[in-house]
Amino acid sequence: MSTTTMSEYRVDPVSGLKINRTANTLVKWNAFAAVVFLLVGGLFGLGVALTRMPSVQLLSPEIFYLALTAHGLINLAVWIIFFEMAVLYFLGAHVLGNRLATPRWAWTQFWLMLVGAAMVAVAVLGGNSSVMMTSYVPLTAEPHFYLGLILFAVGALIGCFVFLGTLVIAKREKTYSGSLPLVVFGGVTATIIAVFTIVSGALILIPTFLWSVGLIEHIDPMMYRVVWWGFGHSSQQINVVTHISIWYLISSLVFGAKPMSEKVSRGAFLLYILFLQLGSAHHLLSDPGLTSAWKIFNTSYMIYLAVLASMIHGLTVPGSIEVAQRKKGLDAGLFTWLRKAPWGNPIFSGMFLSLVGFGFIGGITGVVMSVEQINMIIHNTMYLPGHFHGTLVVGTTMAFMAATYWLIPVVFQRKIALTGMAKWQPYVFSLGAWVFSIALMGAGTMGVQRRHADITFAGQPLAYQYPEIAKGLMDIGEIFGVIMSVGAVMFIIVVLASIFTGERIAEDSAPWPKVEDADVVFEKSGKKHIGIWGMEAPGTFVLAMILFATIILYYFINFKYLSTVWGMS
Amino acid sequence: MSEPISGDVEPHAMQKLLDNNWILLVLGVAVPAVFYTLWGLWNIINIPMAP
Repeated sequence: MSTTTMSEYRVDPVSGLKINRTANTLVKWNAFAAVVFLLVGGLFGLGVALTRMPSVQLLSPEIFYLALTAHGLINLAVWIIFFEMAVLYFLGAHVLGNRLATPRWAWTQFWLMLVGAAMVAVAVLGGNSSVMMTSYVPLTAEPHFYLGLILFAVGALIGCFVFLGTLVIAKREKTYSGSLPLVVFGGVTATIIAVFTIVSGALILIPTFLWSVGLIEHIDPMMYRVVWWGFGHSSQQINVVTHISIWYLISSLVFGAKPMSEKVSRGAFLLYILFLQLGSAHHLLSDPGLTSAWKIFNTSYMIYLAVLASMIHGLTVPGSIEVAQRKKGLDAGLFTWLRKAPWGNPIFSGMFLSLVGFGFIGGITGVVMSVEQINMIIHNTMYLPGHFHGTLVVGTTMAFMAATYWLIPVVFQRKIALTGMAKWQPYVFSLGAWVFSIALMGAGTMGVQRRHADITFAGQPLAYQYPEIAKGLMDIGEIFGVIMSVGAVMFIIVVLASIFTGERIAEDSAPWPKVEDADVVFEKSGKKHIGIWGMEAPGTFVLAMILFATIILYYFINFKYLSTVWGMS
Repeated sequence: MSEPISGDVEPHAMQKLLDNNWILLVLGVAVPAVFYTLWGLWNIINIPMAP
């Protein structure tokens, strides 16, 4: 064995990064745990989808609520937060050519999260903790359900501070100069939001655990909801920030692109740090105990500053890709740069599908449903699962999958196996997830309730007949939910096949060809200008205007709809 | 991917803020804690009791 392989670091031939072995082991285990939980949670999700399909109704109500609780917790929290831990360690250690601060604490993070997730799983599968992800009091779960969540959250909090400590070491040991790279700054943003999120979770779950074992008599349901959503919604904001950081990373990796304005992008991340968590209030827009001033300040004023930040990222990421492509010679017309992008590369296709889908499906609907009046039409309906699948599945999960195709060669030192399947996977998954989200939002707009096993209300004393089209939308949505599951299974097969059977990349193998820096190519070309109409990224500008027009149109359609369901006379 | 800051030039105040993870952490926890959590709980505490 050579000296290099014995040392604490190796130079990765795929990425050129200096990789600390201890940190890499932690990245591997967190990423592997994430994918296993994605599989488990996805199976429960498939059960939920096949039950909510009026023409199938697979599970009994008891099992449905158990499956819904398991699916929500595993896919909304466990898969994503394990993956985020892998991303944070990757950013703090690998991107900065650094070692990890306190690897022992990092292992504590891993085991606490794993044991916590297992305790929650045991409680849920035991059948007495079908309280769904929100676990609103006075619904009662087994004490080890709350304790498992607390351990999981504490583990994640430890991971956040290991990441911040790792940055301190990087600065002290001068593994980078100047400011942090933008993607790492995105990781800092996600970590800060995570700290608020986890502290909120601890503030409400610790007393709820004590209540479940009889040490506290009463938890106020309204206070529970306020503090819990500081945890429940903000945890999803961590995902948004992480997947946006991944967009920046992939645009740099695949195209050699640079952000259009790094200062503006950093400013947008700052807006997230300050205001993104305030969006939690939109879950409480129909709660009677909270004042309109609180609701409107948080959801209709402050959150728009975070929306502005999302629009900046949504403009600058494709804009940077367009500029890079134009600098490399694809400068004709409006969309040549996009047409000739590497659509067969799942790293790019997954990332771009995540970007467009998140903007048009998850993003627009999130902005519109945060308006207090419009929220009244869709509050607590299927619209919400439609919306958050549009953010967390269409956006976050797809971005994480795309990043995984790059991480496997770098972290696991294996080539991607089953490349044909990998090439198609983002399209199958996104097709399923996009139509699923849109159809569920359509059904929700017609009033179909969420959190109910049977939309026909068969055998119930207070029957209600939804329009036939609502049932049709539920059927269509869930059929595409099955297609989404097929896409997820394809991803898991590719990942497992690559890790266990993929061709090994030797440490001393020749460096992989680098993507050329767009600026260097442009300089060599001798050209002075790119773009048309005096703009460097006119295609992105047109796409951004289409997004704007869609938001405005969708906003007014909803107000028009509100006027019909809430007549004044 | 970063814009290195020259050692000869004093960084802008905003850049100093963006480079200080600990101040950002305090702000990122304090702002939602005040405007969302504490204000929301204050609303609920002040609901008058039914006679």
